[in-house]
Amino acid sequence: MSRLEEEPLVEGGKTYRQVTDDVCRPLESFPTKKWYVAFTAASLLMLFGFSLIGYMIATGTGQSGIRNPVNWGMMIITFVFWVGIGHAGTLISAILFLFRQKWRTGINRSAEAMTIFAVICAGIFPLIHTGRPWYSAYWLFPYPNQMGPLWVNFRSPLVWDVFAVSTYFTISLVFWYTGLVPDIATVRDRAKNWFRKKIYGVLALGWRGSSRGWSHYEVCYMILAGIATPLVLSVHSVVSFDFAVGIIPGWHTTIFPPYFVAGAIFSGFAMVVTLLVIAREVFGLKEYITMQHLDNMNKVILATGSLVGLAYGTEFFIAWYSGVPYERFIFMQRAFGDYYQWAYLTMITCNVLIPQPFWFKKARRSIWWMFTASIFVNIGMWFERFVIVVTSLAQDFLPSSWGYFRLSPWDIGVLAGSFGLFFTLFLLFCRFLPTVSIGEVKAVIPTKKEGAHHG
Amino acid sequence: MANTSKRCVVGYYFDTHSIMEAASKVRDRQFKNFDTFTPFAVHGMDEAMGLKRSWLPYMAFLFGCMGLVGGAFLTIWTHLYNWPLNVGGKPLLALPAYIPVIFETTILLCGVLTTVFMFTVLLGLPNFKKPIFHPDITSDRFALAIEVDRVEEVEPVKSFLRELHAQDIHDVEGSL
Repeated sequence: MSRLEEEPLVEGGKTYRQVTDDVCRPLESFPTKKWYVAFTAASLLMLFGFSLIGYMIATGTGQSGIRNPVNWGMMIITFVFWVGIGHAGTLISAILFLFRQKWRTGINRSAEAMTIFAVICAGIFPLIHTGRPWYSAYWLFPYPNQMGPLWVNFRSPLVWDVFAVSTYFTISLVFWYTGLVPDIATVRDRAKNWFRKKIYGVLALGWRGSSRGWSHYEVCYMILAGIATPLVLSVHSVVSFDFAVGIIPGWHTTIFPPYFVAGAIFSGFAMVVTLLVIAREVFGLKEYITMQHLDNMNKVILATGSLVGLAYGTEFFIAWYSGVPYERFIFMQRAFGDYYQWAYLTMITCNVLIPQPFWFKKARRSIWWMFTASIFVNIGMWFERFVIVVTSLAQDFLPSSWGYFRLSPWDIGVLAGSFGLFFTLFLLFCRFLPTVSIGEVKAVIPTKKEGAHHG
Repeated sequence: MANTSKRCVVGYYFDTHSIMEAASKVRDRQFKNFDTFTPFAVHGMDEAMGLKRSWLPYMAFLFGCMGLVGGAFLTIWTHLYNWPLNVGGKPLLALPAYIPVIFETTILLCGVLTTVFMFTVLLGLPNFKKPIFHPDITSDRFALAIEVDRVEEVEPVKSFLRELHAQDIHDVEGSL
């Protein structure tokens, strides 16, 4: 009997120095043509989106498709979508860390970066949705003021959301930066020119790699992972409360928190796969982000996709089992009605059916299949939020107030613009910061003695 | 100018096993101050150097409690005393509804303050004055540095490090 051989976490039998060189190379060489093309495209898309937002704010949010009765349109859908994307990053960096899943070392840095950028994208949408972002940027928070005593209503799920998302952003940023400090120090020590040395020097805070420091650092990292884990589960639960606490049929269900969290991890992992398939190719990181990583991530996509499928079924069953006519009606309308059946079918196809081939190793290890599937999964997850937000509002209790919601071209433009922002930030990150956690990767590769006398 | 006479004697290693072995021998010699510098957190180094477990978790617990109390105060004081808003006759002290906010403030203060405390108080960062012994320490070199008070002590410590198979031994001015 031959033992099952575990695949190495890093391929190619790298030495410590090679790891440093490989990860730092994209930061130290002049950007490639591919990077410039991608960056130009992404930043133009971002500028396009922001100019639409500017015009929309100047003329009024009527530019968006939101009308009575569907007053939560593209903005809220896209907000939930982007917050969900972020969840995979925290899952990889915190939950897999607590579970001692060593394969996370190759991908956690870029996944965490993705989290932060996704939450930035998400944060923009509720602000635009209010129509007066110059107020809502601070009115959402409790702050001492002279308008009476006047505070936010802490019993409102929308306020919980403000707390959840802003805490999530802050903690993700702190977690990410803490992980980055030793790696920034590596970049600092390799820097050739004065300017570079200064910038990375300040960012590295004077990190020297002292073992007395590492000892505290490791504990701090563990604590951050420990608190980020319940945090990430709370964030999308709280987002789901925005709906579940309402009494609208199709929203008022107790399954929402776990269902939203599963969906968030599902879409987030799909986004990680999309980004990493490109990044490992463009930045030559195939030995660090190996087929094994992608395989594992596809397994998570399959598992969470099936969980989401189960949630769709459970939701449907409970709607029938509850005996509430409005609940039954809205679910029948979603699946078989003539308003939004197309959206529901898109959702089912992309989220439940598309990941199914991942049962087979061949599909999990096919770059083309996983890339296509990951994009479809994200389309599907956007439509899931579309189905939840729009169908329930379009046809509620009174048939006289029913109405059909259409996305306006502005909606689509702003949505595209948010992708521009996301990719712009991600490309800048790949250019200026180590995309693979150098220190953590070194800790999982076997030690090598060669090169002992080169200093 | 008491500090100027302090010197650090530094020796280098190129793999984790040899630096840990050396560190455990240095630990037994009871030097006043020594440290190792590694490109990554070396598993088992704490024991080799005789470091106690970090007491950071106690601080994290304290900061978490501060967040908890702060969040509870913010929600309860606001709704009970400063702005008692009656919504459909529902209770002002709606504790279950305050849980999400209190939970988030707990996490926020715990995470942010623990990290800031770790970097500033425990690690003494940011600090750009301390000597960086070799630029490769953050790449593939492992340094063992021993602080000595007087110049006369440098030579014996150097030969001690030589016994421990350290390479490229040198000494620099300044404290650890």
